[in-house]
Formats: sequence, C-alpha cells, structure tokens
Amino acid sequence: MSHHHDGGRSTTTATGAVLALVGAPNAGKSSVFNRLTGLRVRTANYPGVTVTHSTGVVGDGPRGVQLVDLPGTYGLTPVSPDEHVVLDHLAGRLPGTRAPDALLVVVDATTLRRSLSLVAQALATALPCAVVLTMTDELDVRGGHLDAAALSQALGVPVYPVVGHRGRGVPALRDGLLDWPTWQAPALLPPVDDRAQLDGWILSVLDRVGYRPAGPPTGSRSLDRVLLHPVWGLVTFAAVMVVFFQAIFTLAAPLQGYVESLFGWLGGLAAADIANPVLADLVSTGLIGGLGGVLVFLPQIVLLFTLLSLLEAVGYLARAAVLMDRVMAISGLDGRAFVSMLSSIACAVPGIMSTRTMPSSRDRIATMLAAPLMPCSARLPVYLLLTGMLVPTTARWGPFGLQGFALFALYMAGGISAMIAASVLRATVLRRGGLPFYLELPPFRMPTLRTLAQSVWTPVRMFLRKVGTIILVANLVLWALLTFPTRTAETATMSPSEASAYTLDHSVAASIGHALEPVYEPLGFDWRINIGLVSAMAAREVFVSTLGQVAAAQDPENPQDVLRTMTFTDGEHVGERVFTAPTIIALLVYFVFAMQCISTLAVMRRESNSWRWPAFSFVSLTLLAWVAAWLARSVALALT
Amino acid sequence: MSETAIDVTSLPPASVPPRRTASLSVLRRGDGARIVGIDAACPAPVMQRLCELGFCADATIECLRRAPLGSPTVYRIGDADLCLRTSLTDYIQVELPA
Repeated sequence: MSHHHDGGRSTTTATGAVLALVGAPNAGKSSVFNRLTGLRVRTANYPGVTVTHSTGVVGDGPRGVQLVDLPGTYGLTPVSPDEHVVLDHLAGRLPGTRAPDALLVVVDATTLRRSLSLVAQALATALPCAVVLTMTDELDVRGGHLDAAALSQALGVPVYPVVGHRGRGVPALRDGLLDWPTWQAPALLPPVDDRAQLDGWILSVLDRVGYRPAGPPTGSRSLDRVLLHPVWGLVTFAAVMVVFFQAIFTLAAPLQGYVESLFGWLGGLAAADIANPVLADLVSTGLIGGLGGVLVFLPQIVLLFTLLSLLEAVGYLARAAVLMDRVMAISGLDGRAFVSMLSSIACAVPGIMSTRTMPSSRDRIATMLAAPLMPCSARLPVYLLLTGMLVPTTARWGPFGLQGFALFALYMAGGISAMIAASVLRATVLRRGGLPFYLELPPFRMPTLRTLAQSVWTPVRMFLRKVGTIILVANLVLWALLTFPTRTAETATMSPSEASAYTLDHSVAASIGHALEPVYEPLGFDWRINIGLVSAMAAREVFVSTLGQVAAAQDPENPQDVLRTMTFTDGEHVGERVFTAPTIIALLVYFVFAMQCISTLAVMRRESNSWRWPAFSFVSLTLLAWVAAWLARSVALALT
Repeated sequence: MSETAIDVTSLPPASVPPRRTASLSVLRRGDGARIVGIDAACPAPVMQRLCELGFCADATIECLRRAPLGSPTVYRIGDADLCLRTSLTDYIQVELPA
C-alpha cells in the first residue's frame, strides 16, 4: 500500500498510476508534458537540491494517471548530486514521492543515435516503457529517415510519433498512455553494462529502423555564423540584451507605477470609509498596501519570463551562454548565469527566479547568493537622495558631473562585488558536486504561444502563491512595528506630517532604532536612520519616505532639505549634524552591500527550498555591509 | 631498394594512416577528426557523461567555431552541436587526418 503526500487537485487520482517522463534536454519533453497535462500542473522541489519536478494529471476518473516531468538528462547513471535525486525518484527512495509505475521516454528523432543510450537505460529498469518520438517533421525536412513501426518492433515497446509543438499525434499518445497496463517490458533487456555491447545494440536498432541521420541544420548554421561571429555576434548580443534590459527596467517601470497608483487609490478609498483611524490605516497601508507590495513585482516577472522563455525556446539563450561564458568563467560560474545577473540589475527577485534555466544546483545557489549585490533599481532612489546630499548637482570633474560619477561608482561596486562573491562561494562552500561546463546548442526553433504561456504562467503562479504570502505577512509586521503603540490622543491637534512623525518616533520601530544605536553608532547612524534601515526591509526605496516621515518633512518623498539640517537628539553628539559627508558615504556603502529586502529573502527561500541560504545571505551580507561602511567612513574621516 | 620506393608511392594514402593523435583542444575551426578515446585522468562520472553525449571512440567530430572571446568551442558530434571548455576537450583524444 503506497501513500503519497500531495496537496491540491491531483489527490483525485491518488489511487491512480504514476508515469514518469524521461528525456534529454531539448528533446521537446516540456512541450509533450504541456500538451498532455494542460495548465493543471504542480511544481515541487526535490529535497536538498534546487532541482524541480512537475506533476500533472492525464485523463479523468479511475483510468486517469499522474504524469511526472523529470529534469532533462542525457543518461540514467547519475553523475552529479542533482541527477542522483532523479534516480532516487525513479527508485522510489524519496520521501513524499512514489516510484513510477511506467516510463515514457521522449526521444528527439534527429539525435536518435545518442538518445538510444538513454532508451536502453530506461528499458534496463525493467519497468513498462513507451517511447515518444519528437521532431520527426524536422528529421524529414533535413533529409533523414526512420520507420517508427520498425522502431517499436526493434525495441519491443510502443512508439508514439508526435509533433509536440503542433499537437499532432498527441491524442494517440494520450490514449496509449492511459492504456499503460498493456505496455510490456521487453523480453530481452539491452546490454547497458558494457559500452561495446551497448554500441552494438544501438547500431542494430538503427539498422532495423532504416535510420538515415538528418543533415546538419543548415538554417541554424547560417544564423550561428552571424550570432556567434566575433564582431556581429557580440553586436547582436548587446542589442538583444539592451532590449531585454529595457523591457524589465524601463517598460516595467510605468506598469509598476500603475499598480502602485491603483493600490494607493484603493487604499485611500478604503481608509475614507473606515472611521477608526488605526483600522483604516491597517486596511489601507497594511493590507491593501501590502498586497500592492506583492503585485508590484508582477510586471517585471511577467516581462522577464516572457522574454526569457522566448529566448530559451528559440534557442538563443544557449548562444548567449556561449558568448558570455568566458566572462562568467572569471566568477567561477558559466555563461548561463549571465542573464540572471543582468536581470538582477532591475530587481533581484526576478533575477533569482530566472536561475531556473540553470541545470546545476551549485551554480544556481552561487548565482542566487550573488544576485542581491547587483545594483537593483530599488537602490536608485536611495543613491539619488544621498549622492544629492553629498555632491552638489553642479559639481564637475572634467566633462563629467560628479553626481553621475558617484552613481557610476556605486553601480560598479555592486556589479564587481557580485562577481567576487560568486567566485568566493564557488571556491569555498559550493566547491563540490558539479560537472564541468558543457552545453548543447539546439537548432533554432519556433516556439508556440501555448508553450510560452505555460512557461510564463508557472513562475508567476509560484511567485503569487508561495512568495507573495511571505511578502504580505512581512509587510504587515513592518506596518505594525511602524504604527504601534497608537498615539491618537497625543496627535489629535497636530498637522498630518507632525502627527505621523510623532507616531513613528514613539513606535515599536523607534524602540528598535534606539536598541540598534550601539550597533550603528560606529557608522555615525542615529536612531532615526536605524528606523529607516528597518523599514527598508520592505523595499530599499522605502528608506527615503520613512526618513522623510521621521523628519516630519512636508513632502516625505523629497526630504533632502530637512535631512541636511537634522541633528542628533541625544547622546554625546547632541546638536551636531547627522548627515555629515563621512556618514553619508558610510550609508551609501552600507546600501551597496546590505541584504535589506524581505522579498529577495522570500524568493530565495522558495527557489532554494530552504531557509538556510537566505539566512546565510542575510547574515553574511549585513556583516559585509557594516565592515565596508565602517572602513569607508574611517577613510573619509581621515581625509576630511 | 628501388622496389620498396615504388611500393610506397603506389599505395593509396589511406592504407598508411598517419597515426597522429592529440587532444581535441588542438582542433582549429573547420577541422574534422576521429575520437580514439578519453584520457584516463578524466574522472569516471565525467567520462560517463562525455560518452552519453556521443564522445565515444570511433565517433567523428568537427570543430565548428570558437566563441568570440576565445572560449568555449562549438563542435559537431554525432547529430548535435555541443560546446565545451578546454578543461573537457583536453581529456578527449582524437586522431587527426593527414
């Protein structure tokens, strides 16, 4: 009697069979899976590694089966920890998963020779098997040939030719799949233990199916001549990346603005209808504002995954990895990490989510941990405020404005430190457990809307359900810290800006700010800056408005002038200005390194499937930020 | 003496294979070669994966192009295009044509 621990819809078939989909990367496995299961798909992490598997349901009622889409693999002999988990899954050794009752091997007809080695290993498991033959149309176009019926006879298992992206052959496959109890394990298992014998077996199968290999993909070759050309390749790459970056940075910005305005308006609407001021604030700022704080990421995530899925499905992502591999090798990563790092300049949340395109657990974790150092767009308002206070807008150094120069230096510091962090991690805690870099360049292919929609929908749903809840709860907690205890009586006669300053100055957050004084005193921060640092956990740019609120600025979004004259309220520096040049520099350096973003921690928790890595990231980056800020301040003090 | 000389020149070139073996890394763009084996220094899991990718003895391989920044290199192996860094191609022994 086997149990499996599923939540959700798929429990309807808990008594049904489990079939596993096995196949090499680029064999069209996802396309087949999507066609068979539609949108009812559940994605789960394997324990201990950042490898995921998806489960969907095919058919209804008692004959319905669960189909598990395993990570793409070139063989069933595990050669890395990531692949070990897949093998454990097949053997039923993983808690929470059940060994499959039968295997469905997806084989790309254009690479049949190589794929037969995987088919042989699948047959050797002695489980009932069937083969799904994809890309048969491409094989024909490129002058190749094979006889699917003869392949079925040679292997002794059913063979279903499909054109996954057009859905041709899928109904027959679905019927065949539901008839899986009629599949027979072959009478004679292939000789997988001896390479020479296996090669002989493969040759005999190729011979029996009349296999004529496809000619080289001439169209893709011509495209590659340009796309991987020493000059034109890099020019095209730069152009693609500019478009990509513009989309998630510039195109997403107004959309995010709309989301914020919409939720601001909804919050105002709700507040106006609630008499109790604290309850009104809870609904408008805490709940509706918190929900807005989750949904504000959606434009970026949707745009990023639309472009990323398109680039991957077309085949360009593999070319981009080839182009950037030399650069990324400096950081101990490979070319596939480039796009994630670039996306993190817009925001680490989609950047970390985009590491799903990387096959190695170890490289994924290294990239996730480095991503928060990339200069994300939420740092920009903080950088603008502080550099504006540090350097007059008119100051110039040669032809360059000094303010722009300072901004450039901050961005470079973020990018370089991210690369250094990745290389240190890869040389220390993430040293073991990977394979050397190899990457297949699939022929260029046109994706279908259906496949694209699915690859955008899956991460979006994951973000809303799994990450959104953490962000919402964290934002509510922050709201409570900044609001309680309530001061309705004391603030009754004050102006709105004075009232909000008074409430904040006497809130739980203020107590935390005071409690943190010994920690941040060496950096020159006073308790009000500390409140700003606490509130920046919601999103870094909140630092600006919170400081504005603390200082009772008329316009909290532009608190520069008020902050310039702000003085210490207590302690040995009482009466002295808070924002001196060394302190501003320390604060800027602190923002370059510090891990001050609950959303990033939440998404890191989700993608790495453990609190261990976000905790590591928070502690190490906060320490790094403190030390770097202290050093910067000491140097600045010595020079001024 | 003269008989031997005549013998050599009359033989077709293929029957005196110039057995020049080298690592895959020496191949230049457009070069073809035949794989003779994988270096024994190669870790077993890596050897296993190289084999599954088609880098087995007797397979023919062609160097398609080097990436613009010098690494990695794209090869045609079996029915697929694959790219590898020199850390892997150093392990792969090939026999170069004359």
